[in-house]
Amino acid sequence: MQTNVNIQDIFVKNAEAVSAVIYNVKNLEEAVSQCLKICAQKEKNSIAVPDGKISEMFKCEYRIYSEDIYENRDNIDIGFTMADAGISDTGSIVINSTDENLRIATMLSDIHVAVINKSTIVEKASDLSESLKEKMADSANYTAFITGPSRTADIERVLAIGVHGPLELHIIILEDI
Amino acid sequence: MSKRDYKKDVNKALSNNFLAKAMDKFAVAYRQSRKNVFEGTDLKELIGTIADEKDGAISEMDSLFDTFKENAEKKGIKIHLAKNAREANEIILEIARKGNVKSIVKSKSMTSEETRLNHFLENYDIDVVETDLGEWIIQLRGEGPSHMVMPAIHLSKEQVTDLFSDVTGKNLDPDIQTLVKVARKELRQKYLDADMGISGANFAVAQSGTIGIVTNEGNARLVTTLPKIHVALVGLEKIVPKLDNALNILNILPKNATGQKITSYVTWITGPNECKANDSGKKEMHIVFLDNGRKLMANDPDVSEVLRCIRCGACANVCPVYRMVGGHGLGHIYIGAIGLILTFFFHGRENAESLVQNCINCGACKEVCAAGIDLPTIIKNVQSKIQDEKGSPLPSTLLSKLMVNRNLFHKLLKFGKFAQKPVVGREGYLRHLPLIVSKDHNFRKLPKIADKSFRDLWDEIKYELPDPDLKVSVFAGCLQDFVYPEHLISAVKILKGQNVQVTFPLEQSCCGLPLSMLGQNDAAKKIAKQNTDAFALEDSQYILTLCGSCGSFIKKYSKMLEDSEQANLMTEKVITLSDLLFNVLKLDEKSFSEDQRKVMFHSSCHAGRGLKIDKEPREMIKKAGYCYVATEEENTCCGFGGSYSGKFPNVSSKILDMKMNSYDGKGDILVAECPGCVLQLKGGMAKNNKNVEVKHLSEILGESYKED
Repeated sequence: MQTNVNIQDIFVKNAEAVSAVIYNVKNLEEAVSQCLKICAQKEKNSIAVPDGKISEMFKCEYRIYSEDIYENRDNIDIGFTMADAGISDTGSIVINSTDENLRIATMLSDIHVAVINKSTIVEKASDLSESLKEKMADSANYTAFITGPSRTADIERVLAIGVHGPLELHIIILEDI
Repeated sequence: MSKRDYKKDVNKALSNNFLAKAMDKFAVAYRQSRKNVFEGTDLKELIGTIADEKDGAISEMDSLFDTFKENAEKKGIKIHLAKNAREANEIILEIARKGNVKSIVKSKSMTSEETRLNHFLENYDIDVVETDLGEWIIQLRGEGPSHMVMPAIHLSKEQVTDLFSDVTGKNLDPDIQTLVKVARKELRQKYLDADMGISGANFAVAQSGTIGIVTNEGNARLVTTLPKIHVALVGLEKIVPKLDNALNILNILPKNATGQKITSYVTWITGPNECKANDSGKKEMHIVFLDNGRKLMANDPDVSEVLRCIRCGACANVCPVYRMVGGHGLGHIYIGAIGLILTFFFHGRENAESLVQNCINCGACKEVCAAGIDLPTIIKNVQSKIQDEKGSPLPSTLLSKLMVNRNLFHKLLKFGKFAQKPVVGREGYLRHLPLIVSKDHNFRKLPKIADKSFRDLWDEIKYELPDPDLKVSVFAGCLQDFVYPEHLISAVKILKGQNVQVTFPLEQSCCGLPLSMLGQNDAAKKIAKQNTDAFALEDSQYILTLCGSCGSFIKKYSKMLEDSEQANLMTEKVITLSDLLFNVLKLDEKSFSEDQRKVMFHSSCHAGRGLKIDKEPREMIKKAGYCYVATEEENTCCGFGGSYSGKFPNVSSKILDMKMNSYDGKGDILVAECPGCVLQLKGGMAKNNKNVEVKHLSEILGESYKED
């Protein structure tokens, strides 16, 4: 039986294999400051933070969208979102994206920064079967498995990263719950 | 499509050099990536699960649809059922009209290609844009996809550069990374402006009314999120009972398709989600389920397993014919082995009849199918169906009448050895073929009919052992009886030396495979019965064949002759030489002298994939004192395919070229356990003056066998 430590290492290995960038931080405050660092490094200007409470933690000179993500949907450089679970087998994160602003933050941003609690990483997709079914019993649900940034090999089978979805995926793993 | 027009398409594909390089690179790379990604997986178990679960779903397709509909409608999804392609297109048009839709963005959907949806909608002044990069490229070019998963694999980056330069009005560099960013930019605004998004679905989960979409580019997510209306077009066979079934399919689909563990995105959509583009604040969501022949297929036990297909494209990825001609040569809309079958059911006999013959029956597709579909057999069944409807071509009918009369058949072959005298060259090859045969067939030297057939020589060869350890009857097969008796003579020599009593019942005939390949199933059954009668009187433990194709076909006798006792006995006892020598007689190095020559191996399709003979011939080469040299394309078809090389000589020739390149300069001798492969490879090496000797395994074993 795999211990939690093993699962996380495997998660990191598989996520990095598909070009996700991984960080380990202690808490949400550190996650937010890591996101701001990324924004500075990449010389970006706008961050979409769909969770209202978390958006208030972004004290900075960048444009922060939260309630107004939809209205500014063609202008989002970075999307900062929480992830609900991780799958170590494939290095995937799972995001319940029923909220439209959350979806837009994960789809229209150039850079997607996803924050995941270490303890929510499981081994295989079928381990999440029960909780997924619960969500799908609702009258409306949009759940995404996200593995690395968007990609294609449609031209001459040469891998190109960054097509219609985000060009980069950064995953910040939280120690705390 | 007429055979002549189809052959024109095939020849055009064969002469496309870029396509050839692209397909070749892909075939080799795919083999390795698939192997890597399935490392540590019990693939047999996984495929078994998929097959069982899909079969279960297919058998209750109607009630699953009802369940899906009930659960989906409770959540506010509008469900439609289209009887056929036309109806599906009209339903979608009606949804567009009601919604005042002027522009549509689409993500990849083979089902929408099947119904020709784009083509239909464009007639009504609606702008439809494909957003999947490969699909967008071919849409701009006015072409169809040449592969289910990589639609533009037949195009070079230079061609794409020209295309995109036209679209943007800029002079672009032929740099793939740049081109992809051009697509991102050009299509971004289309998503934002579109009134409707159309997607497919990889699975539809009945228990929750959920659809699942497996993608890499992120376009399906945008297509299903931004516009105010979402329409999903889904084949009925995609419905599965529970999420767990969908997760099982997900576990194999990306791996088998592209060698990826999982795609960048898997999107599960349940019900009409929040959508600010709509006044109501909610998405207007429709799912159009398509029948178009699927219900008929589900109720036909000969064909229903075809509906297990999860559209991974693996069957095309490993097909030696596809490797030579690509999707536009080996498909109508659906491509590859599954395409040959689906074309008949979805697009009619006219589109299928030439296409379905372009299967070399190598079995590579069946070996990799994610759902364990017996593609080669069903392709043959479809071919038979077409012939039954249309009537057999005259040569096939004549041949079947001839072969069923064993005496006449054998007399004609013996006559042939006289008739051939004027055209036989010094080394025993036919110097040239009669003029009525086109020059296309001249790509390899053909052997002559032997002066004395094996059955003519039997009286000199036969022997009686006082106390044999084992008794083996020989099934000679046409090619070795009349053209290569030396293969059989060598095998008998070894068996005699091993104290094995060999018998040869003279009433045996052709195994029947050529007839089956020509769609003449009744004649094949008659010949099978002749053979089972001939061998019924032998009290041997094994029936030896030196031809993988004969052996593999004889294994089907039980099914063909409804499990008659004689058929079952023959099916059970048939064995190849390497199997007999390695596993039963357990011959080792002591029986052979050393020979330093380098021997390469070609794994005959029907022996390797059909009879699961893998290590036996390779081990016997080593045991017989030779130096075995492994090469890259051992398990790839030689291109012979029996009657195939007569029908499609140009494809056969190209496959042969590829095989010869893989052996060139790597060894002294090339062996196979099938006379058809020997004919093809030997003839090819001779025609091209290559320095490689091609022999049957029995010949090199016989040469180093110590006869004391």
